[in-house]
Parts: sequence; C-alpha cells; structure tokens
Amino acid sequence: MTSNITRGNFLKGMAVGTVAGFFASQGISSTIFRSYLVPEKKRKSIDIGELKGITIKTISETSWFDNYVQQNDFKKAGGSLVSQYDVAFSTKGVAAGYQGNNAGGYSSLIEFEFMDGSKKKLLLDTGWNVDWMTRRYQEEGIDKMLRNNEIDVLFISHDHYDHYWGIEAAFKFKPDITMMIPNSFMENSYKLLSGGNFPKPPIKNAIPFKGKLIKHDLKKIYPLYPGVAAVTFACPCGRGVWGEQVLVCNVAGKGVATITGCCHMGLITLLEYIKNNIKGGDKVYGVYGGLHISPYDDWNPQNDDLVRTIRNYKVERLACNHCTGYITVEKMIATGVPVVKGTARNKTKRDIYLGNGDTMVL
Amino acid sequence: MKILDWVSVRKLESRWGLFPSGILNVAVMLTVFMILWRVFMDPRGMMRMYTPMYGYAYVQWFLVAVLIAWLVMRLWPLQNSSLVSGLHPALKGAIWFCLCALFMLFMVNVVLKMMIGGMSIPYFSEDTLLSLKQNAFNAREYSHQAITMVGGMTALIIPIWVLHLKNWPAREIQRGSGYLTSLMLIFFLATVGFLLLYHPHLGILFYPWQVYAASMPWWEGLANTLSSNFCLGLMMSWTAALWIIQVTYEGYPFKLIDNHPLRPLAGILGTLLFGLILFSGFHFLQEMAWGAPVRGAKLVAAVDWRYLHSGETSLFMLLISLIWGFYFKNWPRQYSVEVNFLIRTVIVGVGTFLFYIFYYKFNAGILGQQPGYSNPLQFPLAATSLIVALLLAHSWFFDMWPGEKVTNLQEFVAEPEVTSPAGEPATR
Ligand SMILES: [Fe+2]
Ligand SMILES: [Fe+2]
Repeated sequence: MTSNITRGNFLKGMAVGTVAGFFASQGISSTIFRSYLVPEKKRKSIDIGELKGITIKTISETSWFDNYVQQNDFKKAGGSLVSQYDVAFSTKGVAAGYQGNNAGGYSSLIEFEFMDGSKKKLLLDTGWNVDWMTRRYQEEGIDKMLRNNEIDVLFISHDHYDHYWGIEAAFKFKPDITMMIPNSFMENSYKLLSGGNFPKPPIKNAIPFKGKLIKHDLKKIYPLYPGVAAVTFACPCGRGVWGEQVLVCNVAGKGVATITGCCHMGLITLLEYIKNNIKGGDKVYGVYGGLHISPYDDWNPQNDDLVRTIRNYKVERLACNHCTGYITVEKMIATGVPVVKGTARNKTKRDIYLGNGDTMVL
Repeated sequence: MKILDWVSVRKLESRWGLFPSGILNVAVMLTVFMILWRVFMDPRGMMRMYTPMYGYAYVQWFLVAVLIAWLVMRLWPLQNSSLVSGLHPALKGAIWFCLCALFMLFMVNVVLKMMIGGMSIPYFSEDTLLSLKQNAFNAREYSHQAITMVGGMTALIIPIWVLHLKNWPAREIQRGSGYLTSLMLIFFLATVGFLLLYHPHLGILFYPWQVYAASMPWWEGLANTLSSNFCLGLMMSWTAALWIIQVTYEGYPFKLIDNHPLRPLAGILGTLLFGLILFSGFHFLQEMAWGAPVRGAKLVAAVDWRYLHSGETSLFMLLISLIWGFYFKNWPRQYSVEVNFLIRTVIVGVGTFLFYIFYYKFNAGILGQQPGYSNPLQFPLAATSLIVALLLAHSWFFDMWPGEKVTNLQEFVAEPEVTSPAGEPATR
C-alpha cells in the first residue's frame, strides 16, 4: 500500500467514524429518538385524602453538639463508610455537649388535625442520647403523652444513630407503643430494639420493645390517616444505613407538606416524586425536617445546584433544621427561600431555622 | 548494558497456553488487589483509607507513577540490564513496585501536601485546612479530592503525550534530559488543565465562595451544573478512548497516517471525538434507565453525578479493554483487521456490561463500600484504578510472571544497546 492510499483510507475511516459517532451521540439524543427511548415520567395521581392542619414541634434537632468533635470521631473510626455501630463516639468531656456528652438526637412531635376536628399525635424519631432525650421529653411533656397513650404511633424515619438510638427514652414511658419502621433496618438495630447493648459507641436499650412493630417495605406508599401517608425510599444514608421513610400530608386548600427525618433521598427527588405520584403534589405548601444537605457544614457544588433550583418548586413555607446545615440555610435565605425562623433555645445555637422547642403550624 | 525500550523489545510467551496463562495471571493480579484493598482501603479493614478520597488520592498517584515509570521515563534512570532483565521477574517487579510507591509518596506528601498545600494553595493540605478550622471530614476529603484531580489530569495527559506526540522530545533524546523534558511538559499541561477544569470547582467548595482566588465555574451554562463532575466525566471518557483505541483497536486508524505532519492533531481530536461519543452514549443510556436528570437532585437523579457516571462507565470499559489486551493478547488476531475488531468490540462491550452488573451487585460486600449506584461515598474508580495500576505494573515490571515468560533474555546479555524497532512506543 502506498502512503496515499493509506491516507485516503484514514480520511474515509475518520469520515465514517464521525458520522457513526454523530448518530451514536447527538443523533440518538435528538428529540425524535429521545421521545421513543427515554422513559416519560409516569404521572400517577394517588389520592391520599386531605386533612385540616398539622402542628409540628421540634423536640430536639441537635443531633450532636459539636460538629468538630463528631467529625473527629468518624475520622478516628476510619471515615464515613464505617458502620455506625463500629464508631467510638465522644461521650465525655465535650464542652459544648450535654453533661459532657456530644450525643444529642433528633425527634419531633407531629399533631394532625382531621377534617372532622379530631386529632392524632405521632412521634417522629427518638434521638440518640437517652439522658438528653429523656430531659427533652420531660420538658416538652412528651413523657406524660406517652404514659397517657396520647401518642398514636412512634414513626422511625431510619435507623441512623441520631434518629433511633435513643429509643430507651421513649420506651421508659411506653414500651408497648406501636412502632413503624422502614423494612431495611440493620441487623444491629433490631438487636438494640430487643434490648441490645453495644459498648463501643456506646449505646444500649435496657427496655426491650413490647409493642406492635409495623415494617414498611421500600419504594411504596402507605396511607396512615386521611391526608397522611408514609412514603418509603430506597436510598443510601451512610454509615451502613439504607432506606428512609417520609410523611407526606395533604392540607385541605393549601397543598402538600413533607415531614422528614433526614431526607437522605434528597429534597428535589422527594418533591419530584410527590409531583409525579401524589394527587395535588405540584403545589408544595410546607416542608419540615432535616434535609441532609450540609450536615457538617461540608459543601459540594451539587448543593449550590439545589440552592439555585429550589425556588422553582415554590415551597410556601420551608422549615428545616438538623442535618440541613447552617450554610445551606444561609444560602437559601440569601436567594429568597421562605425559611421559617426559630428562637435558638434549649441548646439550638442559631435562630435561622426551627430549633429545639419551636413550633410550626401548617 | 543499557536497555532503552524493555517492554518493546522483550518477547513474552504464555507458559501454559493463552487462556490458562491469562486466567492464572488475572487471578494473581486480583489476589494482590484484594490483599492491598483489605490492608489499606477497606472501611472494615486495617488502614481504612477508602474514606473515600483519602485512599483514592494515593491510588491515583500510584497509577500515575506506573505510567510515568514506563511510558514517559522508559525506566530511566535504571535502564541498566541488571534491574531490567537480570533479576527474576517477581523480584524486579517488586523493586519497581516499591519505587513507584516511593514516587507516589513523594508527589502526594511532599510536593502536593507539604509544599503546595502548606505554602501556596491551602486546599491541597489536610493539615492546613484543619488549622483553618475546617472540620475533619472536609479537611480530609477536600484536600485529597484536589490531589486526586491533579493525578487524574496527569493520567490523561500522559497517553495523549506519549501516544500522539510520540513522547516528544524523549523519543529523539533518549537520555535523562529528554525524559525529564517530556515529564515536565506533561506536568505543565496537567497543571494548566487542572486550573482550568477543576480549580473553579474547588473555589466554590468553601463557604463563602472564594471568588477572588478562583473563577466561577465557566461550564455552568453548558452543563447545567456548577460541579466540575462535568469536566471530570469528559476527561475520564477521553482517557478511556485513548487507551481503547490504542489497545483494542491497535492504534487504528491513526496508525495509517503515522508520518503525516497532522498526525498529532488527528490523534488528539480523533480520540477526543471518540471520548465524546462514549461520554454522551453512556449519558444517554443512563437517561434510558433512570429518566432525565433533575438539577439540584441528589443520587441517581443528580445532573453532575450523571456526568461523573458516564466517565466511570467509560473507565469500566477501559478496564475490560486492558484486561483483554494485556492478559488475553487481544484475541482474536487471526482474522482480517475488521473481523478482529468486530469480535473484540463485542467482547469488550459484553465484558463491560457484565462487569458493571457484577460491580454494583457485590461491591458493598467485597470492597466494604456503601451499596447503590450513586451515593456521595461511592467512587468505583478508587478500586478500578488500583486494578488498572496493578495490571500495567504486572506487564511492565513483572513481565507477566507467572503466567508468561520472557523468551529472548539472552539477547540482553552482551549487546551494547537495544532500541525499539518501530517508531511506535509499545504499550503492551
Ligand atoms: Fe439527619
Ligand atoms: Fe440520617
């Protein structure tokens, strides 16, 4: 072969390659092929009913008191992928902590008011540090509500340490409460439920659970009350935890409201899911809970994408705390998101979001 | 005696036939991988360096060290036959392996962390970030992310420079001055690439945005995200394209115009085009599987993660291409070029698909990672880059021992100098 012919072949090869490449990339992704090959978002419109209103009280959103100490504990254990039961947390000598213990917890009281005027209470998560949670439950009268059977359900969003390890604080007052969990608990989390003791973190539950346990399979919608449903997501939560359940409510005449523990599936994913699956889901009235964006004041430009797009969802009232992170809240406020303010009491440090003892009415 | 192009001039032969030897060698390589992973990386193991970026940074620079040692430096300054052909392959390989590890430690700990991180750009040093009151997680992950990205950029420039610019000027100046000039040119381009493609990402990683020290990401309008995962994914796909063309397609079609003055440009643009096809093709497959991404969403729906994952899938493909090329000698070779290429394309395509399924089904159990396609701690390339580094080291330093042996050792005993016969630098 002469070099001319090879050069000719080369150019021909390049030309064929370019055309093929065009069809492989741009061609296929043009609108014609797209409409055939990319699945349309299937819009269902599940009717979960409606309710009159919701009152939410943050019992504790201070999952831990010192970010710096918390991150060091994880670093010493070997990073964020190490199982939560394999981490030695700082429980003594932390200046910002509760009696020197860095552990706090996340727990909220939700009261639903139905169309007929009747009411039901639900306890979302049980925090982490049993002493701290006991104190907060007593300060907010949760202890009496539990004893008097005023709380219908204990709803555990997921078995992360700061949302679940404090179960003893709730069982102290009512060990036979009805409990709902996502059906993806870690094996050790079940052990804790039946009276387990883990000396390393350290965490224990001296009061074995005696009530009814309802497990929710992932990727499903479970109607709980008129206008209230539990929605379960299959999502990685970190430190060995998988799957989280969320409360989705439909407030009559106002729109939908979401109540989350951590929102590990992501706020936009949650809002998109509701828009595509729940009747009336394109009108978002309220958002409450941990939103898991910058829990340790860690950042990622992906979070800026969220801050730049969240306003498109026209959330009327956004009440967040805990793992949402102060940086996120400051950035959201700066772009005009209607963030509900708190009062910075009971060891919550700042008033830019809903803190310990603060209430929101939806 | 000096051996200038050992990998090009040595002749390898399977000891027990192509497939038995290939399978044995893959098993040996993967065993070494599992041991290294358990000791250094696994979050359930001893050192627990997969945090993920902490361990990933070292893996990335180990890979760069291996690439530099052979492709750029041609084993200089140790081209003496005693260290190249004299010793038992296992011993010789182990020495080169350790030298690469030393180079890795020098680049990561001394150059990037101590010098640049300590005296110039704080985000390169965990200690500096800690002293600036970043928490332990941010300090560790951010600094090692930056270190990994410089390494990733270097690992892209090396094959461009070596395969398409003939490792200029080292190809003509086969002495220390030539090799070092090539290396410096590669480092220069990698630095410029890093500053253009990744530095803006790191500028907005801190709060408040470091707008006087880094530009706002210029790709936002193009990519619909502020994250440099857009650039990163594209660079990964380009890296994969460079190697797949070189290994699976034996350097075609660029081989046909080897002496044409526009050959370097054709090679660079042609591989970039192939990289773009991989990048957008894998992006499109994801849209078919998971629907269109949504800006601001996390996990599989995130815009930036889709770009990253296109790059990751491209590099999965590269891994299969390399395993097939290195261990199974790019079987088949007996038919016409077109038929060979077609069969290999099917093998690499199916292999990538199977590996993808396997990886995401078992990575949590085998590697100790978090399950799921997308999560903030899932970096499949930490593991696959280590496999690639071991595979390349297996060929270049260990002469594919034990599955293969060098058959022309006696040639390197007395002759003064042996150079590569063709202009093409050997990669296998
Ligand atoms: Fe949380
Ligand atoms: Fe959580």
